[in-house]
Amino acid sequence: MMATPAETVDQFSPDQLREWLKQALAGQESLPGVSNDEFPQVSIARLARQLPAVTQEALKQAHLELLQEWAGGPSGAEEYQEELIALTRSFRMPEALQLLASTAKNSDVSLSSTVRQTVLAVLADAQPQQSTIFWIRQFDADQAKFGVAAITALLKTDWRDALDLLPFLPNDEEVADAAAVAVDVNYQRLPLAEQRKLVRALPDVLPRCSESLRPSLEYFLEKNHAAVVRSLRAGLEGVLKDSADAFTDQASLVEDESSKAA
Amino acid sequence: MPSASDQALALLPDEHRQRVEGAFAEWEGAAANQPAPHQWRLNLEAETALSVEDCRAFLEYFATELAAGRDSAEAWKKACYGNQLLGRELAKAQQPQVLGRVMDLEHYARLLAPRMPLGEAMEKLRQGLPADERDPFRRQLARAPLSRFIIWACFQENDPGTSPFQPLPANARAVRCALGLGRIPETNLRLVLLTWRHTEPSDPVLHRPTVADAADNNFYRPVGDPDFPWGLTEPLPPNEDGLARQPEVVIKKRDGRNLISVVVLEETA
Repeated sequence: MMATPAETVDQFSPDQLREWLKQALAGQESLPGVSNDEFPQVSIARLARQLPAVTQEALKQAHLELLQEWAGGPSGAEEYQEELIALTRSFRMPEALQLLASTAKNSDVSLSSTVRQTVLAVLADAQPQQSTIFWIRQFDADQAKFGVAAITALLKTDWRDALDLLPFLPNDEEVADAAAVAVDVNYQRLPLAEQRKLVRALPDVLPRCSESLRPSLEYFLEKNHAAVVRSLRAGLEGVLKDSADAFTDQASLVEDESSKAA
Repeated sequence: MPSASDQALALLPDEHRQRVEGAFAEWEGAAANQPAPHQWRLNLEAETALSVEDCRAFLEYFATELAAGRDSAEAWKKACYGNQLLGRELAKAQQPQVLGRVMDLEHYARLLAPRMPLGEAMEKLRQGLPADERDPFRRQLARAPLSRFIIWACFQENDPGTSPFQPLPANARAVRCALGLGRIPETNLRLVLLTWRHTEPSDPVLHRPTVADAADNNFYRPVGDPDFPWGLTEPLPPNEDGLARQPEVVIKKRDGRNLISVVVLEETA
């Protein structure tokens, strides 16, 4: 009976599992993917979901150990480091996220800007979020490389902080588009009252934004201003309809009473 | 008549031929537990899309990697990556106008927003291709590569101007089955289906796929007819819906300009 990749991994000892994971993250293992070009982290995360709970935990532990080894002195091919860090997003271990955050804060640890970008991208996707001051420091360090992660993270905690940073993004189309998409998606997650406030606050920031960002934010406002107006109108119509219904009910009641009296 | 790979093997220097045959014998012996490498070898033997000379170059590459002490599976992959896009080019008259490809949702989000938070990109992908040209996500889609390496793309033979996914049932399991994506389990699927127009003169050339393009994918099956213009997928058994083999080609990496649709299909256990 042939063994599936998950069954093969399930038979590994903790040491073998760790070694396998290291090789797999470096792209040296044949990993089953939807396509041949799949990032190793994506294939490993899928394979992990097929493992029995005990082996899944052992794999997460092996990942944490590799991450600790990396945090002690980041080295190795950048591709390996990126896959190792990206796997934290899939495994969601609080200890691993904590380790990424402390490594990003530690000025004694030297990270290439590519690797730091990957760390911040994972932290921006994670819960709980890092502090506002953490993200502002990252933003100040390099707006072009870390700005979108900082803005995305801040949009999840307090969108006002994120809006304050938008004018400081560089005039770069890729950065501007990513930031505008982050504003759009996080806006959709807000309660209606907050959405209205964001739509009202954005025009004040807009004139100070870069030429690359301004058209995307104007498009966002055009699209969502109309939506806010529609939702307000729907709300108002609802109130009016309720009042009208109540009035009709009252009128019917009066009519009934009058008929009875007659 | 011997296959192209048998003819090519006979052309190798003795030392190289022995290394290659040794690796093949090792794979055959381990086939009960590790069927994939043995299937690669069977695919090579059945391959009709490679010339004898291309087969010889491929096996030479494989033998050299083995001689360097590389593990046989790794040596195979190296040889494959060094010999891709060698299948015959599709004639202009046979070229479809619309191509499609499937990939994992998170994988595509990483291609779209490298080293950026992914939650937003994945949520936007679930909403599909924005209709408005001014939408910044549309620009992100246009800029991003459709693959890290070569692209496997499918199309409709009878209606080459429409989406290859249109005749398939709109669920992830059916797509997995029709395209022969047997390396992934049928549960917890998160697929993104892309279609794009392939009509510009600068669009990359379409090739018939070969065993080297398939690399370590043991669900690839060569078409027996050497004159057949393209490849065909092998739907996965038991194929309860009776899904047909889908025409497929390989092309070099390209960006997402001229995307027509983005559809996410998710299926949890």
